[in-house]
Amino acid sequence: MTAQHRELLVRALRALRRSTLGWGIGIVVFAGITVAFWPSLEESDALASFSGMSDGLLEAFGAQNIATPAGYLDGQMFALMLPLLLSGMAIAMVTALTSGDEDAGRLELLHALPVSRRSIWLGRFAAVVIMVALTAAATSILMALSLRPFSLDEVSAAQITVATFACAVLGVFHAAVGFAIGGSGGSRGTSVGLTVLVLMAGYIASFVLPIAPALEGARKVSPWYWALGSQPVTDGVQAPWFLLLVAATVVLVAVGAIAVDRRDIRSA
Amino acid sequence: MTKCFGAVRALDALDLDVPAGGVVGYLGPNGSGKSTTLRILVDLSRADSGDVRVLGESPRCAGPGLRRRIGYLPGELRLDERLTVEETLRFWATLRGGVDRPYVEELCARLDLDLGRATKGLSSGNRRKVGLVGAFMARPDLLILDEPTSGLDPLVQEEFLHLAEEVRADGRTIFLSSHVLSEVQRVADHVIVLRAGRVVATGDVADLRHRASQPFTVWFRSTPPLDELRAVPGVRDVDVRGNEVSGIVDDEPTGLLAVLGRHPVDHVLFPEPDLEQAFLRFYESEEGR
Repeated sequence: MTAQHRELLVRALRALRRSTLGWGIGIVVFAGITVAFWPSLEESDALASFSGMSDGLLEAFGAQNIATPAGYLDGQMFALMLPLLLSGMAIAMVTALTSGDEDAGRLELLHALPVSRRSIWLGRFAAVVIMVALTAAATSILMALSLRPFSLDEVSAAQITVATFACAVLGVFHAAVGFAIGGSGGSRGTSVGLTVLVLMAGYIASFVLPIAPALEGARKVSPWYWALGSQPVTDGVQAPWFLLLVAATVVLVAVGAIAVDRRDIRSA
Repeated sequence: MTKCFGAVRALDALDLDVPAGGVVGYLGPNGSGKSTTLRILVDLSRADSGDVRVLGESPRCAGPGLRRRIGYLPGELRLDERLTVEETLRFWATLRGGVDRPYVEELCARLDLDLGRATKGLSSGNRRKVGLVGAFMARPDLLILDEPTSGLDPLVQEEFLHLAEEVRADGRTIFLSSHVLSEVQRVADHVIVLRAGRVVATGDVADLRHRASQPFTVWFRSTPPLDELRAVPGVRDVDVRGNEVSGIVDDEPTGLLAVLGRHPVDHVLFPEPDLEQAFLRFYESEEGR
């Protein structure tokens, strides 16, 4: 890594410090509350009331085994909220640093300096990956340490780590979608809008459409399913699908990096 | 080169030759294509057709290697407001592979720029100063400056002229755009005038001034010889108020002076022609085509 590349990365990381802190605290607090609620839920009959709900509806929230520790964590945390929050964080950050900065005219002078466009854009993407990874690591450590105190120790730290990692990679995948759209010239509004559309369509294809037996196959086109299956803590990650997610992410990043080199940079 | 934005033809088969060494002014009204040209030269934008060479290389192919030899100031400079002036300049310096730190400090002092200030809330003039320091600090072979003095106070404008002089003395080149004609007149050796994406005039500043339309006012001692004046080639827009006659003479004023020599005259006024007058005439002739 040259001094220029290091500088680009460090500046991008600095630009994300504050928003990482905001998102990170929010996500870690959410994880903490989720874990802390388990003992009281387990003792009360609140979870029994879920048994009256249809399997399909429970599956839509990844909560088919909600009365078990692993099922509870899947339903409350890993099948919807954590991937959603980490993806939201990744989308907000990547679009701020790429299409957002370009919309604001802040990339104009930078792109006239003696560094390649790709270095600038990939440096910014790398900064987002690092911040998502740090947030996921903090979440994972907090949850792993909380398993025993909150009677969730049927679930191992390794299961939590794998599931959190899968959520983080799903977040990075959505960052790559925003990166590819921004790299192709989309404004911040377009990048955020289309990426959130991909995020929501993926969730629907993975968890909602399969409620109808005829549409069960829909989940196979969803990045959510590639990352998480239907119960990431209970079942772990399915390697072939996970590799597909990683490959798709790499392709999207390549598309963004190539496209930005082939177009005009917007001025302020 | 030609460059279109949708249906708008920003540059229309523009043919441009900027001589190396010295200061070249790129003049034209807003929307004439000046910024588009400059952005193509630093590869922020790409021409739809044509061939572009900067310092002998294609901006598209030569990439960072070529841009290391160029200092660029955009027309609208937007800074990262999370940084101070000092951090901004250090960032650019690192991306340039390092610059002469004492020279950066000297430039800041000369342009009256406080290194410790946050870039957030800087006036447009102060942002411009940051951009100018950034463009000059690596002593590049070529400076491409889009409206460099816009928003600067007169003292700093004066300092900019000194900096331009130094670049000229080093044998380096400044290509600057402007619609502030008096400043280009003062700093540039050579001028290129642009209109609607086409070059309408090029020449030395002195040459252009020579070709400029010259306004005049004459106070005759007796009845003005209007017919004779109107018959002089190049004299136009003649206006009479008693014995006072004003008008404009295009090209050289020899014919007009000959008429004045034959009649008793109290007083003659030839205001210093500026490039604006040259400018307007080129535009008028362009529109008349």
